[in-house]
Order: sequence, then structure tokens, then C-alpha cells
Amino acid sequence: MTVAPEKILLRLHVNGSAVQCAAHPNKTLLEVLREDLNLTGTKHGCEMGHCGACTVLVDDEPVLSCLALAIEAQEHEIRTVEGLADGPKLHPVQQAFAECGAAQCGYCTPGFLMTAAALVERPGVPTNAVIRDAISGNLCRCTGYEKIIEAIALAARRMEEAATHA
Amino acid sequence: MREQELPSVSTATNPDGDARPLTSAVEASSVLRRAPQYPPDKPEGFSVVGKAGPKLDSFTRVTGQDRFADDIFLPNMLFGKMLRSTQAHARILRIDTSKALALPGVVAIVTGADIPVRYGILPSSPDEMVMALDTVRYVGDPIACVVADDELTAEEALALVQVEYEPLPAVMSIDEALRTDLPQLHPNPRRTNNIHKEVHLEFGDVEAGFASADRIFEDEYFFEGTTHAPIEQHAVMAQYGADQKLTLWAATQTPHYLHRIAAAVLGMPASQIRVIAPPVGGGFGGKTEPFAHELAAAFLARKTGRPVKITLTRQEVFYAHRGRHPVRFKLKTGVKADGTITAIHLQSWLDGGAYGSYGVATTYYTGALTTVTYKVPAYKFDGCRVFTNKPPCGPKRGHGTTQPRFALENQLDKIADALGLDAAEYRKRIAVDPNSTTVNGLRVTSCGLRECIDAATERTRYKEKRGKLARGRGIGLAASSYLCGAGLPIYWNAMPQSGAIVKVDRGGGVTVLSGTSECGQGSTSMLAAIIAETLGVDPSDVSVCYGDTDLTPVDLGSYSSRVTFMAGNAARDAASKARHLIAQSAAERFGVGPDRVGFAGRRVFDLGNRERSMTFIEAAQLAEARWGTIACVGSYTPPKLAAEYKGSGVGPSPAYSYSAAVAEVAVDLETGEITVEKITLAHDVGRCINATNVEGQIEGGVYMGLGEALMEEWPFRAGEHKIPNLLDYKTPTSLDTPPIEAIIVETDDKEGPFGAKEAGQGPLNPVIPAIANAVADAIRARIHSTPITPEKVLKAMDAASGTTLRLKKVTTPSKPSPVPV
Amino acid sequence: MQYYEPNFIDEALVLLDRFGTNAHVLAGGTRLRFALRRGVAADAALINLKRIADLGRIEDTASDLWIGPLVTAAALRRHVLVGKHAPLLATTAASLGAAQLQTVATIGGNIVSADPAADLVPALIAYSADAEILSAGDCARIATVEDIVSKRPALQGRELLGRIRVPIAPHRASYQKMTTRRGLEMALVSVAVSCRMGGAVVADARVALAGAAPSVVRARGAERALIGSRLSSEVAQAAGERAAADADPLTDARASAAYRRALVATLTQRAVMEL
Repeated sequence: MTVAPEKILLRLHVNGSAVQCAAHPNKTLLEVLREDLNLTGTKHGCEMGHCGACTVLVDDEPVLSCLALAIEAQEHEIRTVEGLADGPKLHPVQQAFAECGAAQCGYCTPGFLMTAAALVERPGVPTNAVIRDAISGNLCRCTGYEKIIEAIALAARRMEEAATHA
Repeated sequence: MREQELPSVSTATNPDGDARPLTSAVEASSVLRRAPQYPPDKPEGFSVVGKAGPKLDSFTRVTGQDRFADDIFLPNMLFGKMLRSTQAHARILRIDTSKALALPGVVAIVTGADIPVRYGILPSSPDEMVMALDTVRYVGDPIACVVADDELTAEEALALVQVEYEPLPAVMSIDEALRTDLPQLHPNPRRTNNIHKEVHLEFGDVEAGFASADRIFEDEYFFEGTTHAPIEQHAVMAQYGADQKLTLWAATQTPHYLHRIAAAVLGMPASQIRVIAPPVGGGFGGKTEPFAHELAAAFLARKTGRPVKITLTRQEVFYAHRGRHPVRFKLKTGVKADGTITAIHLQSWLDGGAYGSYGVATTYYTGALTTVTYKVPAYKFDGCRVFTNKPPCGPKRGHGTTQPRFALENQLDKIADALGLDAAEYRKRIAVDPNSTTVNGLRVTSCGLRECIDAATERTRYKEKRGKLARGRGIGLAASSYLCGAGLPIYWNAMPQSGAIVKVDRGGGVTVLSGTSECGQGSTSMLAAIIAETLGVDPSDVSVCYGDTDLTPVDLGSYSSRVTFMAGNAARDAASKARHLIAQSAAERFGVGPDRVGFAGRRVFDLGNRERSMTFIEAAQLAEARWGTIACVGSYTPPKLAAEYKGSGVGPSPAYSYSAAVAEVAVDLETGEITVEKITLAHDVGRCINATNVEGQIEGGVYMGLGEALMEEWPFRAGEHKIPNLLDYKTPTSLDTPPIEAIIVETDDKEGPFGAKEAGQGPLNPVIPAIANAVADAIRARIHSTPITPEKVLKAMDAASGTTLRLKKVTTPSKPSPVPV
Repeated sequence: MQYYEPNFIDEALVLLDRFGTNAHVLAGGTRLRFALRRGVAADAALINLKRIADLGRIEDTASDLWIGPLVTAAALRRHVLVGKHAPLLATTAASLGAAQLQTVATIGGNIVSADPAADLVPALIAYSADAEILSAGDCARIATVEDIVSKRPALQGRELLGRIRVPIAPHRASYQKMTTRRGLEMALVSVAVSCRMGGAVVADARVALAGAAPSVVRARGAERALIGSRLSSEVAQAAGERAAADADPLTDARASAAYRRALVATLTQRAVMEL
């Protein structure tokens, strides 16, 4: 006979806010984000670490939220697609993805955006080869990656220009 | 990489001082235009159609705001899980659910006996049940469905359901299915084997055609099965209200078919069922028919009175399948010394998996479009689909036409080489002509095949390169054609294939109701663009309400590349009627005839005197005052196209798109590793409605073809799918996918909306043979099966040189290999 | 199910001892799904090692590089000591899966999972690495990585992988990996070669093959072909042929044994040419 474990209180830092919820300790970060925090922007495509759809940022590093327990993410800063935009102002990667047609069905998009955000928030403009390598853990079945790479390059250029002006 | 100005959002405000931005964006540079032919109501050209720019739903997609089916959570909901067969073929002797039902948190369990209704997407093959009644036919076939308070409990309950099987011999290949000593998957007293469907068609004098040939080429090919692998796993939420109405939110490309079949299986009036298709996270044909989990969720929501969600695991998605049929071909082509085709005899054997699905149509499609690309004066086609104990095959992007295209284009290069012909010029010479009829009675209207071949080969300097590159480098060309929607619906009826309602608000907004499903292909933006063009407003003024059987008129769904042509024409029909009303009342105000009223830039004006104008808002209000509420309906029914023979219903389409692909590859002659360096694809889309979107469809098709050409496989061992996960089932990553150059060719189809044809499926078809032909150019040897793996490359080189140089046997004795862990 | 986050190695060993086969050890988490197996038994324990700082360090002494089992591929890829003493580990770490997996995949997990196509193990075997195996009650032992990965399972129930030791010596090394696709992928076959030179002559050599046998193995015949030779294309070819003879590959969904053997020859030859 097996039983579900007792729920525990999780204290998480998500998109700049401190949030609490009660959840089973064996729940993944992905499950807690979607099911307990109602942040359904983060998607799942395999729950095995094979597709990248669930990528979120943990302390600014892309992490597969299906391979992390929520309980161990407690002392870290988590960012999801819902936290990318600055109020109504889209993050440069979001703006570029929309403009370039980098999101077709849009299902893998949040994972790509998080991977891309981590990349473009570093100084400098990545080459296409670097972009291809950076997103190689995110599968997309719609776009052929062409417009995703274009969009990330565009976002990086814009961020570099903005940094230069500032 | 393509050097193209990136589309950007124009922030110019319109002349009314209206603060809403005009989102119509830049002119696309990748479009090869013929002399512009504008429709009568657009004498000055287009203001929306043909522009590049973001899709209407792009901004909500990039913020995570859109709710896909699995993103819906309802109060008091239950989670469902399906118990699936562990046997490839077995009789079910007993199912004991008592222990599972006793588990705290489990609310209900149903089995096949609870829903003993047969159904199937095609009325001709109703061979499926929601859960197996007495026989399971593949590993993964649903047996029972559990609903519980949470997912974890539902999963645990599955382990407590006891199933007693009596195993039957499994039929795991085409050859086994043709045998008469194995049990039938579906009892059929008229046969002794597992053949599901046979097709025999002959057009023109085939015997005379071969007799008059100077050369006859005969080859065998095998196209491996592949699956769609959309990143979104199938999901459904079912709610049965106290009003006894059932609502389904399903990740489906075909809400109308789910609506019909749910009514039949549940025994409910369709009027009491509402099917809503939220945004679909990728379909590619994999979500075009009702699935067991959708019907089980509906049944259990009604049974328990609580909302039920079922989301398939990735492994279950591989079992749901309906993917590309593995097909074996024999292809015999007779040609004159100059290459002119005198006759083709094509034979196909399709491995159908355990159920019918769309398989009867697929069988016809492996033969039907052979004649639409090149001139074939005499044609014989024999098709045969068999049942095997594997997940059911169905339609995948290119539905049934992708497999023969690999064979046909591969052999065509061989013919060109044997006859000393330039492979590109040869294809152009035998290309079908616009406004012609094929030997099997298919009507061809607009056709830009020659332009596509020119565009792709000139851009890549194909003629300078083919056969002249260093060993290990290759270039390959292939061409193809595809439907713009099946000419006939899958169930016989005389009603339109697409309907639309366009409502003009007195605030200047326009709403269109359309039964389409948005699976990323851009149907929403296409509808908005067509309506905006017709009414002279901006696409951002158009609100698209789609995929809701309560609200939207029937559209048969997002499959067979039918949406732009059919839903687009229905929307244009409805918008034109609204335009007509608005034009009449505006014409009265201007004191001119309604023909002199123009619509553009959110203004309505006298074409003869542009000074005389009003805002679209004023015009809409004038019309509403004159005619009452402005809400118009439109519909589209394809012209009668089918010829007079049995099977003529598959193949006709109101138009065909054309594509030509050139692949450039490098092959490592020692390891056989293939690097695709670039793919250039020119596609005749009739007229490009949104260049960003059309390019996106072309690029996606190229990418998906690349995966099938190089790495995707569907292997089974001991009756089981060996790789039902996204690590072992290889789809190309960003590091595998080369730069893709999309060239859009326009031919202005007379019946397409503003001249448009499809782009969703056609561009996939030539990619696989183009890569095959490029590899052949690189290694001077041909590979007759997909995927083209490094191992096959070495084998083909060995075979061509008559050696076993590359895959030589090592003579050192080695220990017997242990069983893999 | 109970969840534990021990802070010290001894605590982890006590937990392992207490729960025995009911203990599920969590390091990086690339196999989290298998560890969780929804609804694990009530008396089971999930023991998350990530807080044990002693298992996450990279240090060097005069003779050895010590790598904690929790060190991730991402850390291997960029750590200065790894780049200095064991650059092949950084190379192989960079080829592991994809960026998101490198962030979590640990060197210990790579060893303990004992996959025949593991990414980091060939480099470790080529470097003659060994590792501490810890268990409750002072019975630590040392075993070579080659030995550890040849066992099924790699560790006994109450054991924990400790630090990995890579001997420091001037060397030349190279790595060749062939995959079915280029991202998110394990090797079809990979070959790691490390040589210590005595002047122009190979004084010692290690050749490790992944995807070529039921576990990652040394190609001893290939090593013999290298030792005492001067590196040349002939020697590389001979080493490749010997490696192919040493290999004991399987036929599976991805490739036939014959093809894998051919790859072993070609990749070994190329790896030697690259030294």
C-alpha cells in the first residue's frame, strides 16, 4: 500500500515575489508552478528532461523545471515567462519573437524565451552559432528554428544598442 | 542566411487620429511576384495582403497568457488516467477494477463495456472503441480509465487494475499482415489475411505506354514511419453541467469531427455538446480525429458530474500516434529517350497499425497525386493497406503523398542521369501545365512548378554544382505538389466545407466567427488579414473567434491544407457582403454608385475623388443605421471536381500548390555522417497573404522533412514501440537544422482568396527526396529507404564499389554479446 | 515518502544505511522522474545530496585533481583546474546533452548511472581516474572508474560515491563523439584517448570507448599499439583497427554492431591523429 506524502509549506521566490503554497515534497518545480501557483505559462512536453519546454530561470540559469524539485528551489530566485515583461513592456526577446514570427503554435515558446533571455542578458551579441548551441536543448516542431535564431539575434542587438546608449 | 529586412511594427497612427497602431508591416523581399493582378474591388492593390508582420496572436503567445487545453483548471475537477494494454495482441479475459476502486481518492473507473460503441473518423471504417471491449490490438491500446481527486492517485489506481490476457500472435510487419496463418485484428470473413484496404486504378493505356517506352526503370523503395511529436501532449478538459450540457476543451485540429463523434459515442444530441478548441500546441495531422481519452473524459464527466481532465504522457502520445504510415513501393516508369514519361505503374503497401483512422484516404493518397506534378499519360496504381499490432497510423503533414514523392523524385534523378539529362531542365520539361487535367481526372489550375524549380536552382547555382562537386559534397533537387483542401468532406454531405460570420461593430471593430482550429499555422492571422483587406481596416481591428461549436459556423478543421483556401474564402465571402452593405450606404452619401467606393487605411472613400471620404467607423455606423446590425454570413463549397470512378473522391482539390527544394550536403565518407548545409525551397503559394507566416510554414515544413529524411524512425521489438520518448525518438535540434531559405512564388490562383493557396504541408514533400538526391550526388550511390542514416551511407558506398571496405567484419573473436540491460 | 537534505556526508551515509533499498539518492536530477516514480512507498526516502558541500568541490594537490561527485558538467566545462589538469573532461562536459542538462548533470551521476554511452566516463577512464566509495562505518574503498561502471548496479545499496581522483601528469588527450543528432544526445560511439609522452615516443596510453560495449571500456589492444610508438597516421590506423577488435558492440535501434565497430576504428584513428 502506498500513500501520498504529507504536504509541506513551500516558500518560493517567483518573478520577484515571495509566495507560499502547500504541496507534496515530491512535486517538481514544474508541477508546483503550474498546478499550485497557477503559472501555466511554463509548459511541459515530456517531463523527462528531453524537450526543454519547461525551462525556467533559477538564479538566471536556464533549468528544466521538470527535473527540479520545488522544495529545493526554495532559496533561489525563479523566473518564468510570466515574469519576463516589465509590466506592459515586453522583454526584448518577447518583442523579437512576436515580430519575427518565432512563435508559431507558441507551446515551446516560453521555454525558448527563458533560454534566450539568459543568453541575451549576458553582455555582448552572440553569434548565430552560439545561439544555435544555446537553444539546442529546446525542441521546436513548428519553426525549423530559423525565425527563433533571427529573433534572438535581433533581441541581443537591441539590448546591446540600448546598453550602449545608456 | 537570408538577408532580409526584419519585419517591424509600424507605430504610425492612422489619419483619424485613432491611437491604435496600424500593424500592417513591411513589404516582404522574398516574394517573387508576377505582374500584380488585383481583384476588381482592389484596383489600387493590397494594403494588408502580401505584407510581412507578426501574427495576431504572437503577443499573447510570448507572454504565456494563452491557455492551452492542459492549462485549464476547473473547481472540483478530477484527473483521469488511462490503463493501456501491455500486450500487442490479446483477448481480454477479465478486468478486475475492485482494488483500484477501493483506493481512497478514486472516484470512478470505466472499461470498454461501459461505452460499447464503435466509431472511426472515416464512416467507412468504424473500427475503434473508446476502450477495448474484448481484444487489445497494440501495446498502448486503452483498456480502462480511472478518475481520481489527483493525478498521483489516478496513476496509483492504474497499477491496481488487474487484467487477464490471452495472448494472440502479433502481426508486426507488412509481410506478416499478408500471411493467412495469423489471426485477423479485425474479423473480416471476406479475407484470410490482415489487408484493410485494396485499391486498383488504371488510367490511359498503360500497356501501350510501357510498350512505347525506350527505357523502363523499376525500383523498390521503403519510407519509414514517423510521428508528429507536437510539443504539446494531447489534453482534454470535459465538464458536464447541471444543465446537462457537456463542454469539451480539447487540443484538436478538428472540433467539428470531435463534436459529431462525441454525440454518437455518448448517445447525446449534438445540441447538448459544445466543443471548444483552445490554441493547439502543434498538430501536424496528429490531432485530426477524436481520441479515446477525449471521449473517456466526456463520458466520465457525465458519469461523475465533475470536470475531468486527461492529459497524455509523452509515452501515450507515441501510442495515440496516427503518424506517417511506413510504406513500401514498387515504382515502374517508362520513358522515351528524351525522358518523356510514357507510363507509370506504382504499387504501395502501407503498414496501417491497429485501426483504420484516415487510412483508407491515406491509401488513395499514396497514388492520387502522382500525376499532378509531372505529365503522366498512362497510370496504374495498386495500393494496399494492412493492419498490424502497432499504434494506428494516420495523416501526417503531406498525408500519404510524402512517401511516394520520395520514390518518384529519387527515380527521376536516376532517369535523368541514365539519359544524360540535366535534372532540373528535365523536370521543367515534363512539368504539368497550368489549366490542364491529369490522366486520373484531376483539374490543375494555377501552377508555378517551373518558376519554383527556376527560383530554387538559380539561387543555389544547382546546374553548376550537380555532379561536379568533390566527392563527399552533393546537391539535390526535388519538386512536388499538394492539395489546397480535400475536394470532398470525409462524411458525405452537400453542405459547405467552411462557414464564417462577420460582424461589424459600430466602434469600427470587426469580429469573425470561424470553426477553424489555430494550431500555430496562422489561421487566425490569415482570417484577420483577409477581412481587413476586404474592409480596408487593420488586422488588429479584427477579432477572431475560432473553434467553438456553439459560437462558430462549421469548418471541417485544420487538416488537408484547407484552411486558407476554404475558411479564407468563406471569410472573404462574409466580409464582402458586409462591405457591400457599407459600400451601398456610403455610396448614397457620396452620391456615386457603390462600385466607386473604396476601402483602405480605416477609411471609406470615393475612388473617383479621394477627398470625398469618411472613417470606417462613420461608414459602419451609417450602414448600421441604414440596414440594421451588420453581421453577414459566408460559406465555401468547393466546385464539383471528382471524376466518375470509385476512389475519385481522393485527390481532387480546388487548387494545388507547388514546391521545389534544393538541398546542399556534405557527407563524411568515413563515418557516413551527413551534414545538411542549406536547404532552399521555392513554393508557389498562389498569393502570399502574410510573408512572415508563409516563410514560417515553409521553414517548418523543411525542418520536419529534414527529420524524416535523416533520423526519425518507428522501431518495434517484441510487439513494443522501442523508443516512445523524445530522447530516443530523434527530432532535429537547432544544431541539426541548417539555414533555410524560403522563396515565395506567386501565381494568383483564380479561386483562392485574393489568389492564395496553401503553404502548410506542400513544402515538406520535396525536402526528403532533395536530401536523398544530394546524398546520392555526394556519394555516387543511391539509398532507397528512409531515414538516410550514416550506416546506410556506408552500406550504399560499399554496394556501389562492390566491396565491404567500410563495414568490414573484424575477425578477432569477440565474446557473445550479453542481453542489453 | 520522506524527504531528506543531509548537510554532511556522514548524515547521508546513516540515511542510506537506515533505508537500504528504500533510499532514492538524488544528485543532479537528470533521472528525477525515475527516482520519483510517483507515489513511492511510504517507508521510502528521497535523499537529496545537493547540500553536502564536501561533495561539490574541485581541488588539486601536487599529484591529483579531486572532483566531488556533485560537480556539474557546467562546472567542469568552465573550472580553471579542470581546464589545466584534465581538459578532456571539460571537452566531454561541453558535449553532454544540452545547456539545461549540463547545469544539473553531475559527474557522480554520470558514473553511477553506468550508461554504456555516458559522456564523462570515457575521459575519466582515459585519465585512469578512480573514485572513493563510501559507506557507513569507516569502510571506504577506492575503485577505478572502469571497474565501477562495469558493475550492475555500479554501487551496492548502502554505498555512496565519494570524490573522483584524476592523476595529474603532462599528457596529450583527444575526444571523438559521433551522434545520431547533434544536440540533446548521447554518443552512438565516442572515443577518448590520453597519452603520456617520453620524448617523441608514447610512454603510456589509455583509450576508452563508449557505445562500443555493454559498459564504457578500455581498448587495451589499441593502447598496446600506441605504447612505445611514435605517433603517425600508420600508428593511428593500427590503433583504430585494434580498438575495433577490442570493441564488443551491440545492435540496437540506433545502429548495428558492425557500424559501431566501424565507427570505433574511424573515431579512434581520428582521436590519435588529433593528439
